[in-house]
Amino acid sequence: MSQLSEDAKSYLLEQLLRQRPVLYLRIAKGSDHARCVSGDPLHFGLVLAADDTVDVAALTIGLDPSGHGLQVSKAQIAHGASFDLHQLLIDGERFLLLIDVDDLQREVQQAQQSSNEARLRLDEMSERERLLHAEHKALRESSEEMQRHQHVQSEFVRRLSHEFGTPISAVLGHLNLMDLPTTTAEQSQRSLSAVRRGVAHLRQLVESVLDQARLQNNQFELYPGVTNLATLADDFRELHLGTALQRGLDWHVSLDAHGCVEVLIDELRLRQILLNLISNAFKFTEQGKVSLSLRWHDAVLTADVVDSGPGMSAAEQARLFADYGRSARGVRGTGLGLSISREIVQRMGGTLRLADSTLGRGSRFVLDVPAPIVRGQPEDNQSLNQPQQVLVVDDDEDLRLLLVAMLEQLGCAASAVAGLADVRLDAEPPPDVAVVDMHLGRLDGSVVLQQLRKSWPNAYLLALSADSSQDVLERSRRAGADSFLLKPLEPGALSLALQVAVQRRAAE
Amino acid sequence: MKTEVRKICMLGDFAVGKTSLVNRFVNSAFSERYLSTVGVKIDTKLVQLVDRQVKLVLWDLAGSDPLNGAAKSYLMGTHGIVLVADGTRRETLDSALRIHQHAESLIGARPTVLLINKADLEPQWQSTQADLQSARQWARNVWETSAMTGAHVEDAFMALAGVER
Repeated sequence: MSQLSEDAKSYLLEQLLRQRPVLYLRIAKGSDHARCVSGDPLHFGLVLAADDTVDVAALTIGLDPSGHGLQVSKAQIAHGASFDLHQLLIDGERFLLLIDVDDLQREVQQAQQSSNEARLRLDEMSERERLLHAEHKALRESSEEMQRHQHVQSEFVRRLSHEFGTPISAVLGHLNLMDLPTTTAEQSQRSLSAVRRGVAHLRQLVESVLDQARLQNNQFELYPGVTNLATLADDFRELHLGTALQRGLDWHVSLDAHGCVEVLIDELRLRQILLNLISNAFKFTEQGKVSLSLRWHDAVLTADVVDSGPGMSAAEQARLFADYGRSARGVRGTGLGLSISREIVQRMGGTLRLADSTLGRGSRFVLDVPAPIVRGQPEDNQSLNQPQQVLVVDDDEDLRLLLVAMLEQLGCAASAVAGLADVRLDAEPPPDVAVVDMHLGRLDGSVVLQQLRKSWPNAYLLALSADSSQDVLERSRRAGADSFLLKPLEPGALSLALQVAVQRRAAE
Repeated sequence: MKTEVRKICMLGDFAVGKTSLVNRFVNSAFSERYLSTVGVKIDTKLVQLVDRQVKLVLWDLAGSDPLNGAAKSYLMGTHGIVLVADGTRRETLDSALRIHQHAESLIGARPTVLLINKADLEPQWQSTQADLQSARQWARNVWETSAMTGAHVEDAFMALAGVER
């Protein structure tokens, strides 16, 4: 390449400097400052101080003092132009040369900006795709679950139509038979019995289906009422006596009420559950015995239903309480009985379980439900052999007086207060028993019960109310009450409740 | 009293908000618009510590290709590293770890703070508590920041300004 003349070089330099402004700085020895030799510091975002120097610490920090040539490329200070930073060492002095590369920088920036934005969009799309996949998977799973549910439902409907079909055909058949002129009075009588059985069976089926629907739709309600335990036991004894005789089975009903006469419980539901358990026991038992043992103790009613039937295998036991978990032995029914019974018992605050079952030996079901005492036997209305410290919390003054008098009759040391504010929570020793009204004016008795339970973990807590609704019963239980007493308070019930408290203390 | 000068390098994947964090810290400003950085942007801020004044020189390095050949010239003389990840993009936390390891291989270990940025978009975060927990094992200080609201931005920079050399 031929040598450029001096004129050409100078022209070229002029053109280059016009296109690419430069800043040429001489660094003062041992300083962060430099003196401007040529160019405009402001063009590169640097500020010229009053003494004509520029602070270059931001550029020289980390720079090798002995480096010659390009040090940093594509740098930019605040709003200045982009530059390449060179360091020149001339005659023992350091110079900084900033060469404007703003036009190149802009091109690179635009290309990079597009590329980065495209990558961000791509990332966003992959993330959306991932979310869509997850949603799709969840939808598919829920659709499969629905299909399974539909299958179970349609299987149930298929079984129901069969179950309803059989008694309906029998009823219609017998009615037609009775219509025939040739039918004798004796045959008519037999047909009438068959019609009665068929209708009773249909009614039972309808009730099961309705209960199941009510439980599923949360429209199921309990109505606790006063229930006489002896009457309950007698009724069941009578009810199944005929079946037992007919089947040649031994049928035995016992009651051990510990002096309790009446309890607070939803009698209709209790009967429904017991009936279901006993009917099942009779259905499966070919020989031997079926028994019902009722026992009341400490505000809990326990019912044992024992049979000497074929018993159940482990697999049968496992699906016993499942919906439609009917036994495979070809016995009639919707298969809802036990699952509904257990659900109802749970709503009553109790448990229903298969306590024991052995193949060839029989089964034993045990039901435990809370059953607060309402009335005890008159002879139980007597002094306790161990006097109790009892605190009454009731906002009604007359009732406070009455309760204290009743308690003193029973040999207790009783005191009464109107509300939580008057209770001495730090009393030492704390009372053995507290009787708390559930409706203390504006204050809910369950709040008081909760506080007492917290402060006196070992005290026997009795909730008291004229309202026997399931809601009040449940609230008192949740708040920590050991039992519930119904107003108007019957002395025998109070006496029995206190006896339970004494027994509890003795057992501790 | 002579002002101490400290060079802080901003490192992290592209579009995690490095430039926005510097802009929030230095100018108390924020822009929604994404503008990719090319090369390095240099800013300074004087901060007052309990016992001294420090001039922070912030080198905000391009996130697109932070490990290119020029990286070492940008990193020379660095006193501390502000490592930035975007909470809404989980992979940027992995990039942050990779970039940090590379930087250490070039200039040795330096005091580092990790900023999980875009805390204002927390409902969209992909980084889990477990991710943050494991990040705490390699970064002494982890801050959840937002350049938009300014949350913890000052705290994070000041934590680094105060670290003894």
